[in-house]
Amino acid sequence: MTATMEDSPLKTLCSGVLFLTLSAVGWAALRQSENTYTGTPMPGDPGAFFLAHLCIGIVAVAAVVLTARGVWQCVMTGQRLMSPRYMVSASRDWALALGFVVSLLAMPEGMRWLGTPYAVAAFAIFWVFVLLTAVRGWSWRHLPEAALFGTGAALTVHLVFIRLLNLPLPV
Amino acid sequence: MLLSAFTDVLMEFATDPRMLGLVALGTLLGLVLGAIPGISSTMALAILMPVTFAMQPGVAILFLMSVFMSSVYGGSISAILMKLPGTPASIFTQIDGYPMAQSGRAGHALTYALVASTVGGLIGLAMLVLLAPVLAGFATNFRSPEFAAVALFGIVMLSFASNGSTLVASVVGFIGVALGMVGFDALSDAQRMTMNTPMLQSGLNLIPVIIGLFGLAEILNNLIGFGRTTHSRPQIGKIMLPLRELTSRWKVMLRGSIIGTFIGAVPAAGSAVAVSIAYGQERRLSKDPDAFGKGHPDGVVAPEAANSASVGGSLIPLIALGVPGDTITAVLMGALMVHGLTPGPLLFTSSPTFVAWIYVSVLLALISTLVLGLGMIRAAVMVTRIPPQLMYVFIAVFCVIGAFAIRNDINDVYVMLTFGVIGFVFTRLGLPVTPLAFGLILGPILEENLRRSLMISRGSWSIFLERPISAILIAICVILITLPLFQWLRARLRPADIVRQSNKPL
Amino acid sequence: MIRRKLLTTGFYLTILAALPLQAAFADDAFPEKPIHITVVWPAGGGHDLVARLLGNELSTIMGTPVVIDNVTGAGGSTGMRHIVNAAPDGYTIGVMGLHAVSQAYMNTNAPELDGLDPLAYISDEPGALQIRAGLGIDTLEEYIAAMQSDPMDLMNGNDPQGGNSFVFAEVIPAALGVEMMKLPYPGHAPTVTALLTGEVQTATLPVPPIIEHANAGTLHVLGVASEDRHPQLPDVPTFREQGYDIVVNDFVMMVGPKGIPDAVSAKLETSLLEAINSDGFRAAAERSAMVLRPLGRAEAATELAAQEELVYPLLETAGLVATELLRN
Repeated sequence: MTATMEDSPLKTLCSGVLFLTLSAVGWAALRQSENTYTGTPMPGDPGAFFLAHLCIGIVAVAAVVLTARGVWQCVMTGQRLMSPRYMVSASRDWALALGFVVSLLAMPEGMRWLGTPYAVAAFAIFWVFVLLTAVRGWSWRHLPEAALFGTGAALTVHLVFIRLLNLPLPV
Repeated sequence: MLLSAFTDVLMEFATDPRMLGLVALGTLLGLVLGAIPGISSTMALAILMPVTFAMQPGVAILFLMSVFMSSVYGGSISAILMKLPGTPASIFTQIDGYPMAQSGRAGHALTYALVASTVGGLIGLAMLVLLAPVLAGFATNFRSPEFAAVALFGIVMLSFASNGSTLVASVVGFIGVALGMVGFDALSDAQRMTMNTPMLQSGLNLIPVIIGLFGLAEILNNLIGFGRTTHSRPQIGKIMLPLRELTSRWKVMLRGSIIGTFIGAVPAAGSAVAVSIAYGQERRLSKDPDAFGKGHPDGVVAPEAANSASVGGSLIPLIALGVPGDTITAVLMGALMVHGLTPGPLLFTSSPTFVAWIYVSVLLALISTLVLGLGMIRAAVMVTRIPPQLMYVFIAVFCVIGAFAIRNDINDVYVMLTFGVIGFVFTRLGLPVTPLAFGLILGPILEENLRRSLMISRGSWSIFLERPISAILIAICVILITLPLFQWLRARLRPADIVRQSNKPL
Repeated sequence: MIRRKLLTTGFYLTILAALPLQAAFADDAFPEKPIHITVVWPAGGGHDLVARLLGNELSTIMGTPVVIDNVTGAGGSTGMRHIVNAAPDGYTIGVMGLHAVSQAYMNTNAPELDGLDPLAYISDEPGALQIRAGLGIDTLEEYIAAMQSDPMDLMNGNDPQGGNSFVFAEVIPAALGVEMMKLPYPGHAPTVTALLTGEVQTATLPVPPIIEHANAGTLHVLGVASEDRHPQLPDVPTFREQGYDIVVNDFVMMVGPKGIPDAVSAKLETSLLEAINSDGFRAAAERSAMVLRPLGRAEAATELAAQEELVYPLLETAGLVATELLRN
């Protein structure tokens, strides 16, 4: 695992900003819910929004503290925020993870369009191929291996989840 | 009286090869189903329930119990090998179990989990058999203020259970609590943070969240720089554990089991509270707290023992009062009712045989899980040898299907993805992730009981201090929170003294 | 080596392609694949058991597997939406209760009731009033007297707003002329627990969750809100018998999405009624203290409309109806 947050001023700063964003979004959503609530309060009940406001408030306070601390530490240690070279190598590293997330985002729709087994096959074949390439370099020999594994995965899903367990997966 | 019924039924079941065969079958099914990520124990029971409709009640109980007990351990298998926890308890198992698997000690981790599970279950059963009426009486003292205090206690213990700053862990915990409130409120049916979208109205179900937060986030983390850094597959290493290693941990197992049984006996507290407290407690008492989270065996033993014991504990309110303690016992109760056996206060007097059936089934299920589980370890460990490029895709597919399968809701896949990204971002930033999951679990328990207690007391907060059990628990929480503060102050005032702290304050 | 891999790949691909084709060669009669019954509560809950028992009988009658899907969330609305949005081919049906009526008015995202086609009415769940034993109150009159002298003394446990025991907790005290202090619990099981631990003294639960305790003597049932005495509680008088005209009940019925072809719908109706009237189901229902009242499609629709008319005014007065859904 990566080192804990205290050890890096940049991470402290980013955590602070992250918490700030989360609490802002949460606060906005909570206000919206509060405004649309039409029910009657029960006697003694602090309300459905009390604890939520409290928690989000605490997170916001912590966010401010962390951001301030992060900024201060960055200034003190003279930390460069982002260098172009770092950005380039970082984006190469992150490309796989990002692509993975994007393709997973497409999966539910893909499952509805193609049916679950085919969507799983497409996803699996594609990614085994990509990952094999990442490890061993480009080669056409990866294709049959990917195809084999991909169809195997799809078949397992079909037999176990759809046939055996009768889950109402989109088909 | 009960003991003779117990031994009679035990003889009857244990000497009938068909019964033993059924136990073995149920155990195997439970192990496999539990190990498949996304299939929870509840689902396994629900899936296999129709099979038992044609059986005699005693036989049905035996089969269902075997499935149930083994599926709990099955969840630990996927937690340790693939970092895909299936239950709140296995979240803790994977904190230390997964690093152990990655460093080549998968066999050890699985053995620790299995043995601790068995010991915990046996102790829970023993307490169930011997003390059920007493514990049931104890449990009836727990009302809303006590539930709130217990949930708070669990949350506080949890903050101590993370590496790194306790305060940051608490803040992450608060984020989790806030997330737990998304959806409909349990008490007033108010919508919270739903933006009136159907997806958020359903709330954030725990299983897709933890599948994403731990399983998917781990994959994404590993994909950074994949291929450029060589990911060597961990060596299998020794599978069998030296017996002394296991037995030297008996105190941990005992503590975990007792905590598990007692907390499990409190209806609706659930295994989540039990394992947070057990894990947090072990970490505090350990001589080597910083090794937790990196592969310390006690980090596997404590939550597993507590989880199994809480199963025995949760059967107490079911049998003695006819009240299901959590969702799993609710399914069990449903299955029993289908066979015409309604757990309730009349049960002990009207059908002691039925109670003996349950006890014997738990015993046989535990033993058979131990036996079959040990046998499976060699095969299960092979999973760690699968090359990562295949493993990640395989796990990702399971994450998607598993997230869907819990509530048959395709939106849960998006939830899983979101939390996968969140978990990924958090770990890159060095923030702890476990408090988020547990805030999600414990937060709603805390809130519901807090508000209801205030309704009972007409808004007076002193109700928590007026009732003895909750007052004690709150006092303990206060002490736990302020203790490190004192230690920190002492360190500042006397810098020459090396004050050993188990947490680093901000 | 490569050829072997290619062959195995081709083999698997062929199998994969062939699987959907076999469905196309199947018979045209209904049903030809498994029927899914949607339950909007988690496994082990009330409707879940009914669905599983019924499904067991139905699968024998219709000759096809019946699968139960628990689609939970949003107070039952997620599951109802799942039913309404399902293809109206008769393969997805669901179990519905009073919650769906409440949610249809409280939640703009819950499906309107006209998106559903009732298929069969299974049972009534009349409301009842229970009180812990040992409080010195054993009859309805004693309860009313105690409440009128001190309304805050006895607290009542019930579902949150919109749940069935909440509806009961609105109707029953209004008719009795008392003010009830209502404490919400997320479901029947926690309410029973609260009764047993003494956190609440009374409850307005239907009979099935409390039948065992009533038989054991830990609870007294003061009255049942139905026209006839409950078959499992022959000694408990109805409210009507005691002079209060309270008849209010939750219900369990099978529904499907609107637009199922009439032939399919009729076949489902007959099969469901046969399943409900089967010996196995009747015996299990009796053990669970259900009050069976099997009715076909048309009568079920009438019942549903009647329930809507009963519940809407209650919700409106309590301010629970969403602004967009108010009837004008």
